[in-house]
Amino acid sequence: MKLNELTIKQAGFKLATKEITSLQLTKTCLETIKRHNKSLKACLLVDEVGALKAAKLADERLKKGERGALLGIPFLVKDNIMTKGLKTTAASKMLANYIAPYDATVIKNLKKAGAVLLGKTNLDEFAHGASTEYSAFGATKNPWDKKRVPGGSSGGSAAAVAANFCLFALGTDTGGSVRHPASFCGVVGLKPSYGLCSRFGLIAMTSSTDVPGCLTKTAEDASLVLQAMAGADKNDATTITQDMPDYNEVIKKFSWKNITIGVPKEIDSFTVAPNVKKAFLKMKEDVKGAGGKIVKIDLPSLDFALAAYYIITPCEISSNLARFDGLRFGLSNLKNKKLANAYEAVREAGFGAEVKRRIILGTYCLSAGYYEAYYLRAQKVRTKIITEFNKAFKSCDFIMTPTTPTSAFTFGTKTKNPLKMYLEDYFLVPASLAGLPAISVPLVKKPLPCAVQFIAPMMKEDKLLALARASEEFSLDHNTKPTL
Amino acid sequence: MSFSTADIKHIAHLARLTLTEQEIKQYRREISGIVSYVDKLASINVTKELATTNLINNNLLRTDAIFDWDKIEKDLSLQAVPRKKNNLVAVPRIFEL
Repeated sequence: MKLNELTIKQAGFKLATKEITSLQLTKTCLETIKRHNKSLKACLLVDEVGALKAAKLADERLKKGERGALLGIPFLVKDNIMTKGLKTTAASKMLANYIAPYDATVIKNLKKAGAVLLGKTNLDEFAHGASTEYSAFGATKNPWDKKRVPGGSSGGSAAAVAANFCLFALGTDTGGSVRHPASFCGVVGLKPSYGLCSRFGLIAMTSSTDVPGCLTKTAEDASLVLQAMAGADKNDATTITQDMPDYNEVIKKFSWKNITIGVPKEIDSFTVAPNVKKAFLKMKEDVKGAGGKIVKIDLPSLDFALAAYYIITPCEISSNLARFDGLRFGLSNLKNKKLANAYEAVREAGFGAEVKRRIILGTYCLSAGYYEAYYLRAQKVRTKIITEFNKAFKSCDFIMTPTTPTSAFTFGTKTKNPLKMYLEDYFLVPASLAGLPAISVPLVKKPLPCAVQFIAPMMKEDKLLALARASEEFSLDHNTKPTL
Repeated sequence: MSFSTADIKHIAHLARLTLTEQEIKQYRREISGIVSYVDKLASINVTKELATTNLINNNLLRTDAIFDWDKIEKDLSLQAVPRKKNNLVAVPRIFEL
């Protein structure tokens, strides 16, 4: 096995026992990126110099006897997360030459843990999309089939992990942007509870649902990344102060006995592709076979979640993206003497079609006379969804749905109809609106991956990761890799 | 719900976006389609619900004190500014004299 194909857990063991060095591991990742990034376009930037320097530093720390789950482990970061001194573009022309002046808190945490930053990954512009086709710098391709999208918006991160460019990658999940590409690329995608990991340094999209998340090869690896990422942050007032469990230890204690998983009966009315249906059905049987219980639950407002999400999100986007004024950073055009013209010139040239679409929709929904009917109403529907989740968790420990209704689709299939693209998030937005932790675990990888999503009550990442880890054992082709 | 050219132009102006004729045509069609879909919320009864504006009940507070950035952070921030005067951000006039 090549070094870059190792999991974090496996590589960590080899680093600790001095069988390999971080420099060797990092070089193998960099070589793989060099060889395959042209065809996959998963990375927007590779910081070879910085990565080699960080790897050498990690090796010195290891040599001195220091140990840590991520010490010396190379990773990639979605390009809407600030990385000090490196270009951070959000895959937008607006920020094509923007250099981040500071590290996001999650990046700071990972660097402190000794993880080695390799570079930045592609995404839909400002994370608006579910295919990476809306990147201003060209779409990422799915490593399992290059005629297909990797999903999105963290498509570059998911493709990079599937293609073993790195040992793990960071993404952001607002309404499914970690889980969706994880499903399409056959990797594990964790969206933590809102408030567990700091949003400081994430380029804001929908502030009330944005969270940083991770894409890994296994659920166990996700527990290691989460441990390093999570924690209260004085720079993000919405982070929660709480005692954190040792996720990696806790997830080992799991028994299917006494586990009840709820499947919302409302999902039956949504069309799911035959291959996804078949794999999902097998998962249900496997859970029962292992001693777990499957029950039908009611989430009556599930069908309204997507509509509520596609009001709340554009509204918050129209507000958050107002900061791109061409005066303080990013694209600029100061030839215009008048302020209004200066704004318009920059925003016209800097934003792509989907970003403008969302800004227009959000501005409309927030405008005088429409706010109550749209934004306020959607926020009330959100309350309803949260109440229904709370009620559902009285009769089950976890909720299970397919992650995506289909496997990866071919390029251009959904870009002509934005609503069709939005429907990709159907199973994913409910957990985002309620702030709940959710994880996507591959069910099948070949010929095209599809996945199951588990949702847990707020802050129950330990239980969620334990379940995800146990469910990986049902997969028949867990170790299969795409041929690049 | 259908949107006229004037509607889209008005909304775009509120958002400080200028759109081409082609874009206006496209957004008239697409925004109408999306709004028709989200309009399904009109059928759900939310008379008893309060709006969820924040998922976290306790905000994490800190003292209202100035904390300094390190030199590299300051330099990089200022380097990103398109037009400066004496290390301040220079902007076009807001009021005409």
